[in-house]
Amino acid sequence: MANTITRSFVTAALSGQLNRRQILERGLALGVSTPLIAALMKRTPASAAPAPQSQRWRSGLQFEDNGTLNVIISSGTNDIDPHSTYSTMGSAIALGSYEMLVRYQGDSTEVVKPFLAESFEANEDNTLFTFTLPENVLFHDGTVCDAQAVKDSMIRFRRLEMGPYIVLQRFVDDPESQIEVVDARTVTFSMTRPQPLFLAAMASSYGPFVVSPAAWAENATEDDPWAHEFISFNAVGTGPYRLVENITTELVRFEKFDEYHRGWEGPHFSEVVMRVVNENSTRRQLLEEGTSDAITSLLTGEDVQALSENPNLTTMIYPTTRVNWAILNAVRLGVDARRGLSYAFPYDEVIEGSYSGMLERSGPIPSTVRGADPDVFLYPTDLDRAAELLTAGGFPAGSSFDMLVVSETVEDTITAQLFQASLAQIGIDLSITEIDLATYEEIIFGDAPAEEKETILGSWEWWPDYNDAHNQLAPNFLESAIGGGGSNGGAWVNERFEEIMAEAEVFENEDQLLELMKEAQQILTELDPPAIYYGETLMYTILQNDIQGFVPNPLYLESYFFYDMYRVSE
Amino acid sequence: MIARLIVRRLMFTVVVLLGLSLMTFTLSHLVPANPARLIAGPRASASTVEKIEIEYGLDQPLPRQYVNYMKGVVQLDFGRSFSSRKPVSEDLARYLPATIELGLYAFLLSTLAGVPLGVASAVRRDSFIDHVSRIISISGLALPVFWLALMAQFLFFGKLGWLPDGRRLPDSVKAPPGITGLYTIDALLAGQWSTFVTAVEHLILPVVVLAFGSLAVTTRMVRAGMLEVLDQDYIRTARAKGLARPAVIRKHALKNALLPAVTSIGLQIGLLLSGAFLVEIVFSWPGIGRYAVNAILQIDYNAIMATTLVIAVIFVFLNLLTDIIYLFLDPRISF
Repeated sequence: MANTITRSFVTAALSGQLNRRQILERGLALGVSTPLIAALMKRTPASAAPAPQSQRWRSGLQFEDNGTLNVIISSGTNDIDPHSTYSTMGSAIALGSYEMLVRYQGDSTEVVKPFLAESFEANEDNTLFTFTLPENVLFHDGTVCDAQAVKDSMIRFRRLEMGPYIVLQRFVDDPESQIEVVDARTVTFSMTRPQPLFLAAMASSYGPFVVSPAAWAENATEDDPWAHEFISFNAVGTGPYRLVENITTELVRFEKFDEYHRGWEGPHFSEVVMRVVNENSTRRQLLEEGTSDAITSLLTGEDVQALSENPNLTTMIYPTTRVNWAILNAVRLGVDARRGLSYAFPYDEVIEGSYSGMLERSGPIPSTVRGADPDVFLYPTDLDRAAELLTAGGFPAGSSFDMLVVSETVEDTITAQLFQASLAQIGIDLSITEIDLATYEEIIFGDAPAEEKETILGSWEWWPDYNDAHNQLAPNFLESAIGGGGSNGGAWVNERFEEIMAEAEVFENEDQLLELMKEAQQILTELDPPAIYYGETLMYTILQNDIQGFVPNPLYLESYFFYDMYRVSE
Repeated sequence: MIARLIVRRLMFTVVVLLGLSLMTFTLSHLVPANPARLIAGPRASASTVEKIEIEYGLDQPLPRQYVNYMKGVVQLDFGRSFSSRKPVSEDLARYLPATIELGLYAFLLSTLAGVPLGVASAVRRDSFIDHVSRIISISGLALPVFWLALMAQFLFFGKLGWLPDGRRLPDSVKAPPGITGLYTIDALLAGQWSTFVTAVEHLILPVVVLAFGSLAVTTRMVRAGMLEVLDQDYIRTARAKGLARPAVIRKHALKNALLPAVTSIGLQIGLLLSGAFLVEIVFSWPGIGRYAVNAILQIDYNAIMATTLVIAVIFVFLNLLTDIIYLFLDPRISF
């Protein structure tokens, strides 16, 4: 630039366009400014944000680099070990860096397709499952992912005995003998009895990921033989993206793994940044400004409404496997009282007022999960019937109930207030106690006797690890789920339900399961309700219009398959 | 005298910190929650929760937990954070500079703007500048910092697009080599001019919002002090002797008027630190305030204790500094 200015100055001077005074003034200015500009330019990088250079991949096939995908999240996670983390965020991060052998296809909760595996097959009675791996699969540490690595990884998952290990344990309690390495690319899982749900479980985003055995072997210690400490902070999978930064309160950053076994032909992002944004309004502004590309949940109903009208954004609303309910204290409330409360609940007002229409009425099993009864009994709001049953249950007009509310959750507070107003119409008082989430979870999972707990133990939500009704119900309603074993905080026990669940756990054919679950749902709703079921959650993802390839799956909550996503150019 | 003051204050600080640690420990443990359950997640089994309790020493009796913790603190080991699973000292080293940078510039802005504004407001009482100064003071004191932060972000980022939404740097810009941890200074030291400019752009909104409340107090204090001093006989005498008005204000009035303001400015540090908690949340600023809020929500005992103690130490130290400045400003004062 300085050279151009100098040249034009000299040309102008020599051609007589400048007088002597102008020549002196401009010459002086040029003399001062030229070294200054040169020094500044030398100091300044070409750009504060260097544009990613386009790259090519294999045999001249084009890798179209879509740059960075920016996703908003509410917080990171301090444990990215896929064999121990048991949160939606842990699962979302794992899906970026690791792979399961199979995954659910598209938006289906029924069909599974190969993920790490190239193919898979089950024998006729579902007692033997064979997975074939593609050639030349590498982990992010450069080691080979073969059948032995898959077996070792599953052994680690089972033996670490943390987080979601029951996902595997139910089918493969003894991985050392049940998993066989046939050859470098073939691995079989043999069951002790027919297991129609095994593939569904292996497609879960809670646990069955393949982790580099070399990575944990190198970092194992006497106290930590599975190198949990190392794997908690370092992702070493076979997935399309390498985790390069994970700061719980700030961001999670992935970079494309060049050696990914499915290759990089076509459009993909070379980098993914999941950024922690705490404030609702900031989240909305980042989307409106186009600074962020995607968000799932995390906004107020009002913001979602506003953003859905924004022509630059696409709002996708889809079903999930999550159900919301209020836990009832079964020790302090008899069947009539619990049924009465179920009739007194203002379902429509809560769905509209608290959840901005993002719930659909359901029983305890969502419609997206195998075993859901399409004709499940749903309580209508019927205050006369409610008053009748509550009186019969020992709570006539003038009685009072108490309800817990998690103060951090706006929906819970509004729900409780709407319920309070509904009960007030039949002369019943509902006192609301707001507590923080940590205290709330201690009440639900703690071993304090139910007699000492509130009558209505606040709003709860649950979704299964994989497509299985038993997995949805067991941690919430079995007797073993009382006091630390699960979230049966209301200490509800029903003998027939226990029998049904015992049978459902070892079911061998679909018809048998459907029959059992139909009866279970009748007990859980009409006959002996341990909870008031609001409905199943509808989730939303808001994307910039140029982001394509996102297919929400009801089981992979708040997760993205980054490899499938891309940006279309204008 | 200064040495005696410092020794006395340091001894006092030890007592304060001990009391504070005991109080924070007791209060945080009064919450009937199990952090191990929060770490493990709601879906984890009882055995997983138990493993985590043992890992973090949460299975020990409370007095032992406190003694163990304090033994570590003496060696500057604040234990391991439940939420980040890293040593808390490592977390503090990461987050504290961000808050110091934010607080430092907010402090400088509030002082460098507040003092002249207060002086101008007093000297030109009931003039246009006085009215402006009073509007700034009243709004600075009346407007909640989180609201101001949201509005500033909405206007300057959301609507006008003049300034970034927050954070220390955009994701695409690498942080300068860590020397002080203060990005503006580190960028200058490394000669990274564009990073410096970007860091400054990112600082503008949070600094202005954070400084606003403190600026209001400083302006009010200086104005009130100046009004009182300007009415004194010795000021009239100085003017009667023919001294120029600016010289009277600078040499005679301001030094005396600043005494109460210095105390107030020292105390502003507390206001800035508490304000930083809210400002950091709104502007996604990776500082100790945001870290502390997260720690509180996660019942992260070690992180809560450490942030409380560190903030207390900063506060006590800066107040000590204020007292020392006081000694220089007015040699008649003794502690």
